[in-house]
Amino acid sequence: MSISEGAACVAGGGSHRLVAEVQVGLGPEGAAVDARRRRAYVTCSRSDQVSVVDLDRLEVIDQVVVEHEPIDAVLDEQSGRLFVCNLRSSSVTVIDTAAGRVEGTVAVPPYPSALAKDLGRRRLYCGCAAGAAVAVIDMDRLELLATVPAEVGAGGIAIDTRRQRAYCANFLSDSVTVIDAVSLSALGSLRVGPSPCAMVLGEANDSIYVDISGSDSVTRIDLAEGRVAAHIPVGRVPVGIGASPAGQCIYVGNRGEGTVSVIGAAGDVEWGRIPVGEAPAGIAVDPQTGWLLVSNTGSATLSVIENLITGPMPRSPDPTGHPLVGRQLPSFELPDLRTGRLRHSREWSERKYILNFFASW
Amino acid sequence: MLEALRRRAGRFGLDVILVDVWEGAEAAVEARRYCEMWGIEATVLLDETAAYARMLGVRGVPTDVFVDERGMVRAVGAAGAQELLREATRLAPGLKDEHDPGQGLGRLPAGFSADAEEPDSPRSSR
Repeated sequence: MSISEGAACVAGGGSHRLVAEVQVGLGPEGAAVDARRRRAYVTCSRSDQVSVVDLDRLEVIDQVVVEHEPIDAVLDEQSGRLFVCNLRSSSVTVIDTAAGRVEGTVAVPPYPSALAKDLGRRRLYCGCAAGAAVAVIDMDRLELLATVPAEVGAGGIAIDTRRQRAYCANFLSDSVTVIDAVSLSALGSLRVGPSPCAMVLGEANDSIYVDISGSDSVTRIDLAEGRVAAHIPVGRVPVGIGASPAGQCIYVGNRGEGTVSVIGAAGDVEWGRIPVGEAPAGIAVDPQTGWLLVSNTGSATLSVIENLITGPMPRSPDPTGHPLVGRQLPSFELPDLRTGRLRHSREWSERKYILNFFASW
Repeated sequence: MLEALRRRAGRFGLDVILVDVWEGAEAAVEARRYCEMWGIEATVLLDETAAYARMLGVRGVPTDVFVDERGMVRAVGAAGAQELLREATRLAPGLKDEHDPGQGLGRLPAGFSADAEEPDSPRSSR
């Protein structure tokens, strides 16, 4: 862990203050905050654990073993239970946070990818990508109540409690399924753009924001009108999203470039970007401090950030420019997955090629 | 999408090489599973420590680095389908005029069951 303090640590042209970079388990994806107990819970997909972070000391104080590939987490403050969806186990693990132990498990359809809670009805929603469905769990009885059909790639969920509707982003179907939260039935769907991912409720303007990872943008759905109201360009490959406590800012984790976009809710415009760790994903906000907690899947860290962006920031002449462009590619020597043999960049001399950096997650 | 592009681009002298980074654990196992799931037959290299990615200033995935026949970097980024095709066509102009039969451009991984396009990663549905 490293902790930065004071004005000298303000980086990124005044965009933010890096409060800490906390080393967590491998492949951190989702994060949830318990503001009262000063804890953050980070799902570490490659450690099959949840890292428990003390938000005052900014260090990991516990690791809770769950099932295979935990992706997202939601805290129920009333019961003190943490719900964690495990992608490759097709399950939701329930953790008693006071005791720091697993309390139970609920089976759900294949590839549970994201969670959201409906506190009024005491229900947990879970988007299940391969099951093309949304599982609805009773948060008190820890039972599966219903499985609502969605579309392939069902994942990110947001709840509109005012109208008693749930929205589920279908990553592989470019759509959002609208669900009646009373009858637990699908009402229809909206076309939103390629590869929609995480969603968050924007209370300041009665909207839901959806990461559109395939077009480097965020779509805003106007809940009163039930239609797509805006497409907001952000950084490359947005997959994580969160909102400031008052809802005036929407934060977007750009997995393709290691940044967080800050969107001003009032104007449907990106105000600026904050550099974070490698391949960021989930974003949570500590309501007590307003700090952003960003899970960096690549660097296995949790960035704790104070956002200093309060309006549109000046842009560089070419925001997509990269220092490598126009320069000789540094040589490489890396093992081949299939043969184990070292491959040198000399093999491709006088060839044109694309190097595609990827991760299986 | 990338695998489909690779199959088309080869005849225009453009290679596609995948570099696996940031797996955290069991990189070869995870990368092999991923390739089998998506039917990827391209050359796959393992950058387990991400040292090469960091040398290049790669901060996230997917990131594409476009290299011309002189070894010069022409573009970096281009994760989206349109941007990827645009930059690939700059390197291999023949791609622009070739009829795309649409076959094999998108496939779903094992266990998924509708006609949708191949994503960059099934996990990204979070």
